[in-house]
Amino acid sequence: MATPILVVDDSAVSRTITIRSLPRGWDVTVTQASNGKEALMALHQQPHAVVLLDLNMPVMDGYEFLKVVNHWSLPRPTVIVLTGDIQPEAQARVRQLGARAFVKKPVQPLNLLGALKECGVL
Amino acid sequence: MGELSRAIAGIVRSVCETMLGLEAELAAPGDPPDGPAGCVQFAGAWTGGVLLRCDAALARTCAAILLADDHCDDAAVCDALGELTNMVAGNLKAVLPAPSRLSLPVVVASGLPAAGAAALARGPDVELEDVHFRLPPGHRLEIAVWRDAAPCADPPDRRLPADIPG
Repeated sequence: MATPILVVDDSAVSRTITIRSLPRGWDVTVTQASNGKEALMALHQQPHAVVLLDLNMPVMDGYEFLKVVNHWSLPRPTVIVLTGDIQPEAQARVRQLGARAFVKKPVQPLNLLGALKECGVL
Repeated sequence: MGELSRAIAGIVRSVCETMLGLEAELAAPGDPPDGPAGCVQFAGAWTGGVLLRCDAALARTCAAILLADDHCDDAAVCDALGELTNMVAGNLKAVLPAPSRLSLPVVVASGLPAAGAAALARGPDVELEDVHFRLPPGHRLEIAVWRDAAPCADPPDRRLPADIPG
């Protein structure tokens, strides 16, 4: 059965890069959202095993998205944050909010694979 | 070359190589590349911003490589340039004083002054690092990073340097 993945980023280019970086041969169905609010709507419609989340987005950013997901009763997805911002403060803050791993942008396939393994998804 | 310029050079080289498969070489300042520009601003311990400007052909090449599509429209070109600016700014944030926040990227299609000149026009006390690159085959890329004299608590999302129309 395919693993449902939700890719959340306001940049279509960035979403394309992320999807292209998913491990080859991994059976997935990919849903895309361009901000946290769209991502929450997607999660309400269908549970997703993994969310690949950008932080800096309009409408609802990654931090706000994590705060909501952290407090809801629906099954929680594994959230991996994709960001160019690797300040330790940012990492600590999102881990506190429930993110399981970080992947530095630009996303590279090997780094994403490592994060997925680190989270036990693969 | 100062510490910040070296950091900028390392980040730009890494982003260009990783994302575009292009080798960015440092170049002497010259005529500014006449193409679109992306801007991301910082607020917090470091208040300022980064402006990335390149020639129009390079912007189209970037979009074509990133989206694996040789026929990208203008919106896709702007999106690609904004994302590249975002990557440079995000990586730069890691080497600047913390904590700070980033604005969303803004892209202006053309008709700008040189990035360094735009940053300097913000005021007499602005600190500026202006680094130029050459990418094959003969493309130009300019990165200006500036620090404002007055700190600011929050980034002015979607706002450009004072002299840039837009």
